[in-house]
Amino acid sequence: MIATRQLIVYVTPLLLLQLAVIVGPALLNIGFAFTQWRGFDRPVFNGIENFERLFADSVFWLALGHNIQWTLFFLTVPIFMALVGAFLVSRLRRGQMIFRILYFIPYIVAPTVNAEIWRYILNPLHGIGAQLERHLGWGWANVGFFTDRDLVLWSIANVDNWHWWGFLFVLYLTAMQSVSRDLYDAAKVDGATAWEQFRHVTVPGIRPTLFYTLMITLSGSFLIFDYVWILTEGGPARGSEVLGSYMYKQAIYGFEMGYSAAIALGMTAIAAAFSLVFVAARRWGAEV
Amino acid sequence: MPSSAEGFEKLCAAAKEKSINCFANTTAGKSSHGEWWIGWHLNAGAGPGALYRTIKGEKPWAEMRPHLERNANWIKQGWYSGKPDLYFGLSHDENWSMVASGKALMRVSGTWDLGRMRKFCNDKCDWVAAPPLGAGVGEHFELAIGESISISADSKNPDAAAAVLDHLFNDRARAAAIIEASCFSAWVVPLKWQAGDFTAAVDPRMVRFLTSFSDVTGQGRFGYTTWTFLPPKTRLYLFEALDDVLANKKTIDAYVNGIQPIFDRETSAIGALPPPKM
Repeated sequence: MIATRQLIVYVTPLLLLQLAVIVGPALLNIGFAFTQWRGFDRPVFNGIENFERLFADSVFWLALGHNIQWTLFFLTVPIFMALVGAFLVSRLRRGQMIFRILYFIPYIVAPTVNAEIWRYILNPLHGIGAQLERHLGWGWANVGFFTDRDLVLWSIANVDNWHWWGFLFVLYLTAMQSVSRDLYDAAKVDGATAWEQFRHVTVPGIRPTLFYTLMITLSGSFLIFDYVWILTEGGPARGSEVLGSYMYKQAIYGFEMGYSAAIALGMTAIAAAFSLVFVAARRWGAEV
Repeated sequence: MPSSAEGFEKLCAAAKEKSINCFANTTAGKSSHGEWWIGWHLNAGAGPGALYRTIKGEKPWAEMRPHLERNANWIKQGWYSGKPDLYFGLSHDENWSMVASGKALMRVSGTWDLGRMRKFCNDKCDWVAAPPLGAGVGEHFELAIGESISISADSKNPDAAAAVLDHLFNDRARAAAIIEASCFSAWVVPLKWQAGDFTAAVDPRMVRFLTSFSDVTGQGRFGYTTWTFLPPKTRLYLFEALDDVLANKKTIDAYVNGIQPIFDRETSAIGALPPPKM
């Protein structure tokens, strides 16, 4: 049994670190959200002016809409792909490791590298579509994935998904391997189809992992910044503008630290609200 | 090289007929790069004097409309990228490749790109000061502050810090060696250069740039880059809203009319960097 004093000794350094890099800046951000501040002058308290402006800012609402679409995409597409992939691979007797490695590799590649790979693959001048157009005359194949404002958000989401779903796949596969084979055998004896086995044995068996991945996907995807910034900076013509990119531009290009702090606070509040709804739904018996 | 907007339009139309790009200029997903050619149209179209008065608040932004509209129209014509939809998608390296391979006639850029020019084109390319687009606009260079180096007021030994800066920047032989090695000349510009300061090893295009920059700007013939002399939100609006115009989300009227309220709000609240008088 570890003594209380020992616990304090072990926990305090991490707690101090957490206070310094998370809690401190978070509290400062809350304070700055109520100021007019350019980042290099003295912040001036301006009450709720930044939030009034936020509610009237059409770009904020546009970006929020993109964040919600992005989050819904990540709560469905990669999770579905990873669940189905893991279930199919879990039924293999041999060669599972090959799939684990292949699907996991994109996750350990840096986002900038992932983004550049896809930028080249989909490049309108040298990419696969451009080559098909040049050599086979298939003009329809050369789609402006990152240049068409109606496609760009989904194109970036797919690049991000390419690295994310493999991570989920490995988590689900590991969780599925802890589900007792006896349950599957019993289901088979009862005449359960593969879908029914998945629905009534696999999903309940991996529910804690499923919940965990839904939570990290929800919080991570709502706060999206890296892939959007690397590939388009929110363009073209705000086609991929998300709250993270908009906040960054306001702070760094616009020298509006106070306003961008308000955007950050709004973003955090919305993400927290989504997470709370999710936790509450689970507590009230929803099957997640 | 044409010396009027009409001359460029004639040249670009002729180039397009031969499937050659007029300019190799795209934003590669970074809409901020659009301000390079916005700045060219403002300075070379309206003239640095008119832009100076606009930045000072003595002239309305509405008077810049012909120049902003011309810039947007040229991009929409596909003169900056071959096809309008490539404007948002190609990188600087791809732009330089187009220039080097003869698929594009020229590129609008700054001195930071001289190294790339040498890398991609070897001796096949050269530079000219941004040509005039409007009547009565003469040769000039746009001024910019890309970075600044200062000595802290709290420095324990400011004289030693100054000596280090002198060592780095005021030794012509060392600066010339750096220019030759890196083909990057922007940060040594404050030195007043003469052709005799350089050895034969220094790229003659760099020598010509540094000597003519000293001469031309020394005579007060300079323009104003948007990223140095415009208030930040106005600057941000100029290139972000340009993308909206290109995507047909905003009319040119709405684009131009949107500048003044932002500019007025900013300059009344925080002021603007006072532009140097020509």
